[in-house]
Amino acid sequence: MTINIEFMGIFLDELTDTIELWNECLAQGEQSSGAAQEILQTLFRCAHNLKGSSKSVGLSGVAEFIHKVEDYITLMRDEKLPFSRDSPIILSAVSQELKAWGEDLRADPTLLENQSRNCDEILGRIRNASGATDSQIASGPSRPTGVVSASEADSSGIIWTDSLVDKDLPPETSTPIHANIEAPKERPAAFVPVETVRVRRTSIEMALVQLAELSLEISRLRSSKQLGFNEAIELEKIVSVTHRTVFGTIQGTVEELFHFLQHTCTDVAKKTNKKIRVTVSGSDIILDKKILEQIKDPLMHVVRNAVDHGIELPQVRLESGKDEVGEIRLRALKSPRGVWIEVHDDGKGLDARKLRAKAVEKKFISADAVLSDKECFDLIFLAGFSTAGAVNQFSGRGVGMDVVKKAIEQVDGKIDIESNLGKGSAFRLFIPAVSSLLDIFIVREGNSDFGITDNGVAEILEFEAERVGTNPTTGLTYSYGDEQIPLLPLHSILGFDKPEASRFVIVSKQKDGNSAILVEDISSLQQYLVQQPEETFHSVEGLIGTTRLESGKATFVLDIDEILNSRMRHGSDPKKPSELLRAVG
Amino acid sequence: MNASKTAPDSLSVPVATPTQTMVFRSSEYYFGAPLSDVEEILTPMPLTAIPHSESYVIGMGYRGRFVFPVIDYYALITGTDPLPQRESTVYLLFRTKSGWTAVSVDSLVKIQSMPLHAARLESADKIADFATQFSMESEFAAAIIDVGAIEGRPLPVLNFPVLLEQALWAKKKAA
Repeated sequence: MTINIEFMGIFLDELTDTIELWNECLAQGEQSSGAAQEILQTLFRCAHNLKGSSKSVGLSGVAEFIHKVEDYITLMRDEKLPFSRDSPIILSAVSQELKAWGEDLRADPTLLENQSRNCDEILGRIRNASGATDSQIASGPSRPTGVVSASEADSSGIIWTDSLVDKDLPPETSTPIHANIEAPKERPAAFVPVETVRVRRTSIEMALVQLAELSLEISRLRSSKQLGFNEAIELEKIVSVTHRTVFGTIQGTVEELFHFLQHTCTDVAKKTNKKIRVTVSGSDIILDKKILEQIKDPLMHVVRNAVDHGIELPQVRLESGKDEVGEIRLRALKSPRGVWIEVHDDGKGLDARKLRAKAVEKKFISADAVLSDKECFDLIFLAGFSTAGAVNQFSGRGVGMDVVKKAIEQVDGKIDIESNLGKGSAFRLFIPAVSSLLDIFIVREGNSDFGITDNGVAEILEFEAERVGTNPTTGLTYSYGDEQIPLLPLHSILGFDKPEASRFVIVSKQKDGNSAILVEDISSLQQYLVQQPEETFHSVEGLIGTTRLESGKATFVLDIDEILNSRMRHGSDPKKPSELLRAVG
Repeated sequence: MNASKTAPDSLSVPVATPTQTMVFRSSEYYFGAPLSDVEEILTPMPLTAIPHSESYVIGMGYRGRFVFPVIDYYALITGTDPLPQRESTVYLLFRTKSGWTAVSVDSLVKIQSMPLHAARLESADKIADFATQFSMESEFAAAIIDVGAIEGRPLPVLNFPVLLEQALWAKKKAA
């Protein structure tokens, strides 16, 4: 077989687009509780085109695989085979397999493709799903269908032998969707694929930078009165809409990711005889598409573990007084610094004692090591650490949680575990935002301006010196309504000299009550493009990122909520009241 | 630093391959940086003060969408206060392990292809001694990679990415 390297790049780009469209179709199918003909037709076209281009670059193995998939889709499209509950799972697995192939080939375009175990498994599933309706298939599509027979040659002359089929796989219980779901009264809206063009990511990033510069220039012209107020507002609106549109091209919601994870959960539950319910929230939260792609596999591993090792068998759950149906909760939450993604299960939870014992046995820690529960949970991130008694198909394929952690760290993220024995576990991933549009106030301190997010800001008041008091434990206080709330001058937080006068107090609502920050000056709330901070600014407390002001000057954006929380937790050094009051003049 | 101090003695070391070196002035001394390490030469810009930074970190600068700390070279190596900015002051931009960092220097002298002596100062004592001659804090003297010569005087050529990385993390290390 000869691989055509010259056209491999074009083929791989086409593959990426096709996978994207393929997943879009599956998501659309899920929303319309079935597969509309239009969707199946698009999937068929995807498979057909990809088959042709695979052959053209010499990837006959890939073409062969896609050909089988194409046959499977054809059967469903021609209503010879029902679009069952398994169909989206199988088609989703196809997309994963194609993606894996693409990644391998990108790494080494000269690689001769091998049919992996996953590929065999997918073909086995297709065969099982198709075999369940042999009678229908007998009058199936006009061209020979390798799908239906283990020995029959297909249209390309390739014999689909039993070696491609995993005989050990149990037959899938393929319940046709139309059998137990009421037919929609109205025909689902036709799926019309959106016309797309390929653009380099760097071009989009460059356009975003230019738009940010344009926005700054408009603000500068407005400040210098070279541009009227109304004209400036109109221009800023246009720039803002354009920015959002361009930014949107490299951003995506977590919806598709959650959709894929839901399928994974259902798939594993079925194979492990577990009963689960998957709930999803925060699907509309936006993340960089590249990052969404990079966290997909680690998250898949986490949800597999949650179903396989976390959720108990129905009987066990009933015996322990739980609902026989386990719950997996997928949740996304946005914070000024990035996005949290949580995978929560109400299963058996992690046993800190067992984890510790295992770590001692495997000589990861000494027998007398003192570890908190949290530290015991973190042991699972050590390379080679596994609590599973036996390696199984889902969670014990040699991909450990250490690999998951490394993958998350590659996108500058982190992973955290919370677990209650007998009640369940939560795995929380934090993905920092590379850049995001945030509403920030600009505060002035000394000769420098700083941005602060509106996160936690309850009120901004004019400073009245007579409302300042002292407290031996919390330091300075400010009279706010009926309470005396802790007051921190921003200059002391930043380590700057005291300004001549401070004019404003920002009241922030904390978990444990209100607290306030005293600032020299503050401007109105405005939207700024905030970039992730460089590591070189590690010394700046509560740093979210950096941004550019109208003056062109770069500045820091701080999370005062975080600063106040941290200060309140750690307290302040005991000082004499006279010393404290000197800080506010 | 004493302006009337005599120039340090030149070192007797084997001659190595000529290297393009950016020579700059700090107070009355000349220093060098391999040209390949210098990413850009910038004119001074308004800086934003960096909270809780060392006194030699004079603020945050920017170039397009990139932001970086600016370090006063004189204050860094001598452990004294930063020099006032002059008309001739320029910022040399370097890429360190943690990101971009700029160094504020008094003025640029020239770019010269010079045969560095590949001194590889053999002993810690010799490094410390050499650093003293240039009023350098001994902790940063280890960043001297070679010693060239200019106008008959030795010219310390420094590994700036290493020097700056060390400077930026000094406080954390000390803590």
